[in-house]
Amino acid sequence: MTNGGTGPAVSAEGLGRRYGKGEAAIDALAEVTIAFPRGQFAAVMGPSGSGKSTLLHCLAGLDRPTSGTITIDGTPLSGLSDRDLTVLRRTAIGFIFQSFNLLPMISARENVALPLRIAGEGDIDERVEAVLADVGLADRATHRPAELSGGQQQRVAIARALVGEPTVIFADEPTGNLDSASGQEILDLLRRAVDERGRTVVMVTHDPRAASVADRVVLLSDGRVVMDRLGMDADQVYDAVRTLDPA
Amino acid sequence: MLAGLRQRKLRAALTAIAILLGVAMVTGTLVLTSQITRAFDEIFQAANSGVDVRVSPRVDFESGGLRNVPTLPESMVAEVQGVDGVKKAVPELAALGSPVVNGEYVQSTGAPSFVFSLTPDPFRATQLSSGQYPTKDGEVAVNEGLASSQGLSVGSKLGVATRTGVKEVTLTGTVTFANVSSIGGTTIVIATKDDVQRWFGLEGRINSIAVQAEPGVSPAALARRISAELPSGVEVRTGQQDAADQAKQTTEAINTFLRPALLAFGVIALFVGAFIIFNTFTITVAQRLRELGLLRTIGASRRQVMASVVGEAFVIGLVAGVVGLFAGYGFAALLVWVFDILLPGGIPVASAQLSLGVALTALLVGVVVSVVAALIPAVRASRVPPVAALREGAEIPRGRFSRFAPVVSGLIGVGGIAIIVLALQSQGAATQRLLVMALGSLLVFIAMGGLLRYLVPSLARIIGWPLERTPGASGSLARQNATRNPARTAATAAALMIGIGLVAFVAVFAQGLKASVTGAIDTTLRGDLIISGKSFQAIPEASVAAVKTVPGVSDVVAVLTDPARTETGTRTTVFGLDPEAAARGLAFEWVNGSSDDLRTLGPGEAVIEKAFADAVGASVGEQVRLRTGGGGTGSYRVAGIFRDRILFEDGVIVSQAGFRRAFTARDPIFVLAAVDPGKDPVAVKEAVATALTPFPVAEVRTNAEYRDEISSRVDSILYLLYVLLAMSVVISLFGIVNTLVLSITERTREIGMLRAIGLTRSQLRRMVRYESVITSGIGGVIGIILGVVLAWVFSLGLEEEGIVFRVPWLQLVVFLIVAILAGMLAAVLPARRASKLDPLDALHYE
Repeated sequence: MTNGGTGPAVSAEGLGRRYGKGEAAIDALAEVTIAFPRGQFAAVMGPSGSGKSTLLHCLAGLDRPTSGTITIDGTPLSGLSDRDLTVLRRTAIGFIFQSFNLLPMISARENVALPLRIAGEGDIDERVEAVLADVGLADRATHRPAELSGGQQQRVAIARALVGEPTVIFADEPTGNLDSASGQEILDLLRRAVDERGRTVVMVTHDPRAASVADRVVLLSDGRVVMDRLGMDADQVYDAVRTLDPA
Repeated sequence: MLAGLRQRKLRAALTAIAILLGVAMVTGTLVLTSQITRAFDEIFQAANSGVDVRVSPRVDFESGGLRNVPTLPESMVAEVQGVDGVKKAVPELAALGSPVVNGEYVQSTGAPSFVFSLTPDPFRATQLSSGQYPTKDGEVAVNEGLASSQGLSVGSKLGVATRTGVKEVTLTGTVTFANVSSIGGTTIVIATKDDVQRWFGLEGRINSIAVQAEPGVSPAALARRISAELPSGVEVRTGQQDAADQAKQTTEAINTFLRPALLAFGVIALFVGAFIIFNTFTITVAQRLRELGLLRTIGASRRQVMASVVGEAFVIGLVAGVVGLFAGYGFAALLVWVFDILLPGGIPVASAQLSLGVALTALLVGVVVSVVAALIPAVRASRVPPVAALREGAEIPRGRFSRFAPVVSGLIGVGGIAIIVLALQSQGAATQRLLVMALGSLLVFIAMGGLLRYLVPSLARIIGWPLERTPGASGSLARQNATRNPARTAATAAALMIGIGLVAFVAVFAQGLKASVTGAIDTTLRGDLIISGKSFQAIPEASVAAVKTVPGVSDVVAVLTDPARTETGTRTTVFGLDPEAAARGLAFEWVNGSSDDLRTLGPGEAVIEKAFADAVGASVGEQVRLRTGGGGTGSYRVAGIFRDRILFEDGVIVSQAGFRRAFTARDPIFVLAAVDPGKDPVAVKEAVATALTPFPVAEVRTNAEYRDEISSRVDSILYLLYVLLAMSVVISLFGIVNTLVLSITERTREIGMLRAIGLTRSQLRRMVRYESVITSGIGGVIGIILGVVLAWVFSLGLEEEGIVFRVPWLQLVVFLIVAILAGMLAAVLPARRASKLDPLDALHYE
């Protein structure tokens, strides 16, 4: 199922997400139509409250949009039961969180193996070792998260996202809690996931330097896409963001 | 801090329930036992209404209840009537005899069946509710409850089982027992004095004399006057005194046995509840580090932080006390219901009353248990540094002494074991030793609760093994969750360990008891048949002759029994039997002498049980002097010493002739018989049963049937204990629910992450359920092991008493399954809460 189709990895059409009711209702997303082709590294940016996190949550099937449709790997999300949605997340999606979200009581290796074990797959050892080696943590496999640095923990999280060979990886501020050197390592790994493994990465970030690593930058404001460009460098991103958020 | 209480409503409710049930057991016990004692007070008051003075034989010590009531000569009535100031003196007789309706014996296995002689006004304890009192022989009145349950009405024919066979009588009226709320399943038959004397072989004898004083004569003065006229060996008391004395006996029995026994289970429940309070507060203090740190930053002192935790415990304890008080009345009603099932006929119970003392006890118990259990967490909370408010992942500094915790637990455990061993080796009375051993066991349980945390990882691995083999990661996640905070899992499991441990203990103990008794029946009784009375009644003497006439029956041994004491007060039981038949029918282990000594036992001789011989220091050839309950004495030369810790425990065996020299029992307590070789035991048993038709109180059983009967009696007590211990198990379930709910709240983010990376709701529920099962499994396994080991140790202590050690494997497996099912049940609510968590929560916590 993963990487099988030829259409976009993720697409959304007329996506709206409204919180609350009546007068007090807020449209976190309004009429967003966007598609992420396979093998693309996209950065989603925007000021606080612009709806970038809501977009990520909706695309990943964690939050249900109030209007519009989302399609992941050719499967429309609307109408999927909680169970089917969960299985789709398990098989087609990988997650990277700002705060790593590793299980503290198990080793790096076990954390990486978790998605495969949840899926009940057998013969996982080689795949887990390979991914761990790929993120440069083969020698830290038996360490618990508390025994690893922040950058190392996030690398474990990337390995965990990669191990199931998902169509798309959603990263929510993956460098937000890291120093710049560690952050760069993380961005390099994501870049390699796209270039070498053909994954699609959708990354929410507020860091223009992080965004500049991506192939494409999508800028959101007040729940709408206000800019969508390919191939920007850090300065261009910085300027684009500043025009939106003249703080 | 009360706001904090409201925020955590569910936890507060679950925590309160943990002590509430214990409080309910304690108050329920106090309520119930006062209901019972008041019922007996009412009964004795009613029985003595109108009696100014009562004359009865003097009894030095209780001699088997109504089985063998001492009597007075009937001629004494005239003597009493002649005393100045006596208006009326009438004879009274009381015996045990069940009604027989349509040929069916009306059995009340628990409550007694009385036959009373008719007394005139003003001595009547009963009031007519229909018809009239009997006016001539062959007529009876019965209690209304009996009439309505058996469909009897005035004019009905019924039978009365007596010492001389079943007597046909006509019902002339029904009565109620004054204004007593309930007399349980007791049956009452009122017949003429002459009938009662004839039926029970008491011609010319009476049990007591009821006296009415002339107007103006005080009962006390009259009692002194009557006493002066009568020989010694006669007790003369005012009616009031007599009622008080009788009520005192039952009240004492209830206050020294039933009440402490039931309270013990309440204390166990509170003990379990305390574990849960301790654990809950430990977890919440750890979860509230930031909040507590903030309090310190804005100027709260350590003392104030501690007071806030203690205050919360106080409120929870108070709520538990109030609700537990009312739940206690429910518990009392539950016990009455259980007694009704286990003892058909039940027990007399007066209406429940609310008393200030009980109410205060409930509040006090609730508050004290709750506050004491929360003390350690409160001290820990006070150690939270102000900086905890600012820092993620701050920890409470460990106390100066916390590193000694395992050492302390170990010392407590060693102390408990030492106490048990010392009690085992001491020479004290068995009951005292058992009490000390129970104390030792309590310490062992506490120590185990403290040490369990070090065992949690390996136990979780063992119990989680099959769970981890299930598809998906739920099993291993559950095991890892259970072991990430071993102290928490240990405290939760320890609560269940106590309940399951005690259940296992009583199960093993009961198994040993059954094995001991049935083993004794097998080895000691050579015969094939045992005839015994229903409801522990004696068998009419005349039935022995009836059994002897049955073809194929031989070696009939009728066993008479009376309690006796030595000059120095050592208690014993005297058994009177036919030496020749007994020497063939009974196989004793002889310490001194042989069955020949039993066979040739003369009227002045006795063979005595070893424990009694040791207690009084008697050896073969010496004389043993015994006093009877009625004040008589008998002296016997010891002809042999045997060992039998079950059937003839502490006993003195004499010949029937020797028995009659001093003792008064005429009806055997049981009769043993052998079936001639070559005869079909079943057919002979049936023939004996037919021969016993006139004596429906007597039941004949084969040895095997008798063994089953003993087992089922032990079982019915066992079931009562299970019901009482089930409360502790239920309480510990609330503890598991509480811990899981708190842990899930703590792991909201992790659960969100797991859901995000593909854990389905059902996998998540399974993860919670498995964690619960691992926790309950640890409690179950350790509890069962501890229960079996303690039962083994206790059986060592009771080896002298003939109690053996037997493990009921099947039951233990059932207990383990119950523990596991309990774990699944406890997980229902927490699993549902966990599965409702939004996966977004994993990302929102930024």
